[in-house]
Amino acid sequence: MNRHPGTAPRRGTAILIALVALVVLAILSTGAVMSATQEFRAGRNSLVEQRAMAVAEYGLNQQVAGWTDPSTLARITALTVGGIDSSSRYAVNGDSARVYVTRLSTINYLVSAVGRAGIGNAQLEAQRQTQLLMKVVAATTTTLRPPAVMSVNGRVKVEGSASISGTNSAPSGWTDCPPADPASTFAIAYPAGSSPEIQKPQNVTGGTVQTASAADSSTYTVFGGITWAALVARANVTIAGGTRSPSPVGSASTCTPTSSNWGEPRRASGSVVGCERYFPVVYVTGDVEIPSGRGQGILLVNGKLKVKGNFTWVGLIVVRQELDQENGPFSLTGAILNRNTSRNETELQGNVTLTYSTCALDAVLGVPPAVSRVSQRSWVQRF
Amino acid sequence: MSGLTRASRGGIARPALLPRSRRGFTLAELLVGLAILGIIGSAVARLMLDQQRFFFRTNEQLGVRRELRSAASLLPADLRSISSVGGDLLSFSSTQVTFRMTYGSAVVCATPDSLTLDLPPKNAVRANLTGWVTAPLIGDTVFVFSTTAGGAESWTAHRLTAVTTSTGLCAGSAFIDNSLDGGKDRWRLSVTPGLPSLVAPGSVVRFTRPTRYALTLQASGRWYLERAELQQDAWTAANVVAGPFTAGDTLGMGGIGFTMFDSTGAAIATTGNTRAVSRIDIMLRGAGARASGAVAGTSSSNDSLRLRIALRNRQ
Repeated sequence: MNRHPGTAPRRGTAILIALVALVVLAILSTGAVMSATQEFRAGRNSLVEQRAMAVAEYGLNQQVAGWTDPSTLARITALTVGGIDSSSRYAVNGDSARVYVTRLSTINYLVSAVGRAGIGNAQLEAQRQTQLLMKVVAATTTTLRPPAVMSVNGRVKVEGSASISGTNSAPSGWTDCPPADPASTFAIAYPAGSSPEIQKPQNVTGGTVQTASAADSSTYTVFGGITWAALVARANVTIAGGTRSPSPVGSASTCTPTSSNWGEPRRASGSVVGCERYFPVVYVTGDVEIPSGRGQGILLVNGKLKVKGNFTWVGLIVVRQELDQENGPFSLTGAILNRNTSRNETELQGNVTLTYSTCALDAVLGVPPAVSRVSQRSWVQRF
Repeated sequence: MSGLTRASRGGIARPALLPRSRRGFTLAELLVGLAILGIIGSAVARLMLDQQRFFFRTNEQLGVRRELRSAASLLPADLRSISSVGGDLLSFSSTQVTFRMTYGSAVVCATPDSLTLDLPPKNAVRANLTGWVTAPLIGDTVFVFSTTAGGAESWTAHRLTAVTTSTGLCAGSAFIDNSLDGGKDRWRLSVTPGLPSLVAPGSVVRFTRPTRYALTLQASGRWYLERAELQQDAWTAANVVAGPFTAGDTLGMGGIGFTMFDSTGAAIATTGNTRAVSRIDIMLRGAGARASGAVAGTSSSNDSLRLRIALRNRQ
């Protein structure tokens, strides 16, 4: 075979070596990419599982937190033993939890939450189920019928147009009070030797009464079976003395517990509806002055109480030392117990309206249902 | 006619000369060519070696993270639900923890006698009240909840002596749909000692089994996380569940470090009150199983992960 000069066969191996190198590099690179992809998928699956667990716990906690709402709790406690409430669903960031509540006994409830997470991809869905064993102790009621709308262990001076009524009345706007208890009470109860000084007797309905109970310390420390100490222990708000102007904090459906939120006594337009069922026990550790504000519940003052302006209270006020009022208007519906340990004169000047109300006392002294986890082994992860 | 021989022209015959077209390489050309080939070859070889190292290093890092993730998914799932206040934390050190794992729960649907509990089927239609991740075994401990009339709560511990099934149990129970759950196996647990009289339908049952996680040195010279269970009064052979990790030490600075804390955040010594444990911190330090950096080198690729587990049943 003749070849043209200069066209001898080139028998080098460069291209072969290059091809082999490329193939090896491609294999290694593909392997690395596949490993990285697997790692990504494994990490993503792990993330989805963790999100499912997180949303299951979120649903569980949201459900139990919702039991502070009386209407929600009433729905749960209305279940029969063995009954199931599955009406609750919670969603967060695209993940969801469905919660089942099963009533197990008169006080125990099993809350199960199934969390689902998928990051928008159904093929990636992970599920986790957690359970919580709860107990709900039924509400208890305490009846307090003080000897008067204002019981004072000492002298009382009522001046000006101050109005004190022992006639049992419902707080203004309260429509859910039972028919008024016909057994109204006295306006002022006082101990022997401390006759009240009243400038306008016509403004005092029910009269005054001298009674040993006004001098009995238990009148001011035991309230229908609940002691001062027990009330302090379950206080919703515990604050130091000073100047305080309470005002409800919330919306039409929520009530935010803060140190200045002492409930909503109004039942009219403009009221914070979400706080109408909030009857806090407010414990003030020292002397307090209230220039303005409103609230409902039980106000325990471990010192002096001075009302200096527009203040409305529905419920019970217990004052350890003296009670003074300046300016006004000061409106109380319920009762006042003034232990007056300093034996100073209790003075009401002018713009004061004190009205006896068993409806208000029953509302604030009732202990709401107690919701809590059972001890030791309440929580479990099912899968 | 340069190709003609002298013989053909009447002269002395002599061998034919090589064609002038077959040119060879000079020594210089050869040296230059070899040098170029050497440079290119070494570059290609270096590239391949680098790529190989990258591959091995990446693969190793992924492996380390995979093992860390395995430990990070296993440990919280088992530890989260232990009841420290209930005595579930049996012992611990910086490299091991032994505890009663809660692997299932159920609601009693009948109590035929003081030694027997009946449970709803696992696949009940309306409410899934019975479930476990592993089947109950004789010798396991079940805790049964009961409440006194005064509201006092108690969890009493009982040893499982038998586990059977039957479709005829829990007839008429409020916790079973008697039509939709008909024909399904219900569970009967025999226990000892006897149940409190307050245990009744609606009482909750927790299934527990002693379990141990430990960082141990294997014959390979590497440290792995092992898991073992106490089944029927004997520890099972430990299974490796993750690793390798860096070497263990008593200070918790090794491959796995368990540290217990109380509710105030104070660390609890291994000899301290395990019932006060409120939180478990776990430090994981994974070690690469393969060499990297150089194919035959000894350096390894390590990574670490820190977990903080809040115990759900600490009160």
